[in-house]
Amino acid sequence: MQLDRKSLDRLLNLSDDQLRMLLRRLLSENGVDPGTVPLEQLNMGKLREALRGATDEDIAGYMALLSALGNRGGAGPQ
Amino acid sequence: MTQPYDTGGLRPATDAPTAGDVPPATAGAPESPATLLERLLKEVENTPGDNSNSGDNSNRGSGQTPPQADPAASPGSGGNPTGGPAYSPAGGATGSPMNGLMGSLLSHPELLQTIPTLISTLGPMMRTGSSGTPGAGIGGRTGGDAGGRTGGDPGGKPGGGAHPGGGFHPDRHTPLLKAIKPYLGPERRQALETMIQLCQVWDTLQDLGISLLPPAADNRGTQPPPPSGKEG
Repeated sequence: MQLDRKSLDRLLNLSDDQLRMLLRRLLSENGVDPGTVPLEQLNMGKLREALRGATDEDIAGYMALLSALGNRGGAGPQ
Repeated sequence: MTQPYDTGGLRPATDAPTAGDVPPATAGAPESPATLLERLLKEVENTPGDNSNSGDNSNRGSGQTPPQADPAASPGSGGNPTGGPAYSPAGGATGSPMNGLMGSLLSHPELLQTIPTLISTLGPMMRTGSSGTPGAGIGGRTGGDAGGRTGGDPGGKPGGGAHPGGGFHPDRHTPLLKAIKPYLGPERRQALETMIQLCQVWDTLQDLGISLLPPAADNRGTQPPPPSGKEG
C-alpha cells in the first residue's frame, strides 16, 4: 500500500472512536505507550482538518521521516 | 495479539481482533509505515465501533465535514481540497514549514538521533512556561483555535505572547533566535534553524492536543488537564 490521498480519505471516513483506536494501535505498534499520550484530549476536528489539508509533498515527507526514524531503530522495543 | 506495551484501561473493548485481523509485524521483519497503517486501517474499519463522530467534534467548531475526496483539487499543489485555505501547521508565513523541516532533518540524519534528546530537554522548559497556570501545560492551548496561537494562555489575556512565568514560547522567542542567526557559525546556524522548525512542529502538535511529554507529575504539583474534552 502506498500512503496517498486515498488512504487519507479512508482515515477521514473513520469515526472518531475508530480514529482514536487507530492512533492507539499506531502508537503501540511503534513502541509508544498509548497511556502517555492523552488521546482523549485530541482535537479530532483539527486532526481531520490536517488530514484534509495534507499535500502529497506532506505525505511524502512524513513517510520519509517515518522510514528514516524506523531505520534508525526508533521503532521501539522489539 | 501481542502489544509492545500494556495499554491497560486505555485499550477499548472494541480493540479485539476481528475477522480481518492480520497478525502484527512484531514477530517478523519490520513493517513499513504504509503497510502498518494499511493493516491497522483494515482492523479498525472492520471494528463495529461507534460511528457517532459528529458529537465528539460538535464542540470544536470544525465538526465532521464529510471527506471531500476531490482528486481534481490540484494534488500536490498545496491546495486544500475542501476549498479552504491550505493547512499551515505553524501559522505558515513561510508556506509549509513542515516541508522545510523534513528536508532539513532528512539531509542531516544525525539530527534525527538528537530529536528524542531535544524533546526531553525542551520538555521541562516548555512546562515551566505554563507552570503558573495549572492545566495549561502542553495542552494549554487546546482551548484556543489557531488564532489563539499568539494569544498566549487559554485565558486569552491581552498580550498573551508573554507566557506566565516567562517560560518557553516558540512564537515569542523565534524572532529573537532568528535575530542572532547572522552572528552564528554555519553549524550553530543550522542547529538553530532546526530548533526553530522543531518548535513549529511542537506547536502544531500542541494545537492538535497531542502531548509528547509525560503527564505533569513533576514535583511542582501541577495537575494534568482533565481528560474530558473541555475545549471549545
